Amino acid sequence: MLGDTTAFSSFSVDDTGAARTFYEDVLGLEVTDGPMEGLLGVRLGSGATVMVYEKGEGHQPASFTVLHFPVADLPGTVDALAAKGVTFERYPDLGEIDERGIHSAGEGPGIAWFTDPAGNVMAVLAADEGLGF
Amino acid sequence: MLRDSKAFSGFSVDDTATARTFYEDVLGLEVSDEGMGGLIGLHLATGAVVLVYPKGEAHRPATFTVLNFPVDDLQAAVDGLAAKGVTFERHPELGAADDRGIHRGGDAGPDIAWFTDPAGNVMAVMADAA
Repeated sequence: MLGDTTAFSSFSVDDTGAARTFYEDVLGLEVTDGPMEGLLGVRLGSGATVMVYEKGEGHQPASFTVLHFPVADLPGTVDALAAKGVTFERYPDLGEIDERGIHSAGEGPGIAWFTDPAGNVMAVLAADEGLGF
Repeated sequence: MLRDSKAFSGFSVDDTATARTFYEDVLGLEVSDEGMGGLIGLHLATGAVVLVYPKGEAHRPATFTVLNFPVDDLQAAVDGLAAKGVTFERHPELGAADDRGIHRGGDAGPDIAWFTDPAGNVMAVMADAA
């Protein structure tokens, strides 16, 4: 029924201005203005566009990861993001954690989690270790 | 830095088997098995893939909308989903809803109707402006 629609993912932030600065200047993503105020389009290298919408104080980040970035050089990417002020989360129940914050568990790819200024959880992960869509 | 990454969205569910049945049989989406303990991928018509992962009892749906489906005929889409057992949410703070649960966007946005998947994740069908 909805399999042929131009569906898109979305999540909210408290402030699209702060979010946009982070996505553009820290993550290096292409961000476009949405069709109305308080909406952003975040262009991904996969070709997908994710809608980000402003909810002000009503925003609450999810407990799950909203965006995943597969990268060829995970340690190098983590170091580069850390140099830009990104801090990485540590979840002891999700496997072994190295000094960078890279988690490894079972057959899953190496992965490191961080948050955007609105507290939304995002991850960089090793592109060559599965989950290649 | 991450501009060229083949990035993908994701969200969690309590149980991917239940979720998969809903995505396939009710929403009519293409779903793939991605292994690793129950990961599934939702293949959207745009070519995007959304990762859905199981968190069991630890799953908490977000307060925001995770997936949006623009449709040519919103009333028909809502009726079609309702006939398959989908119930639509009312959010009075986001404007009045009609009998179907369609919120009129007016100047503020497209007409839209919200529903949830079996894990409580908020999704929406909306009038495609294009």
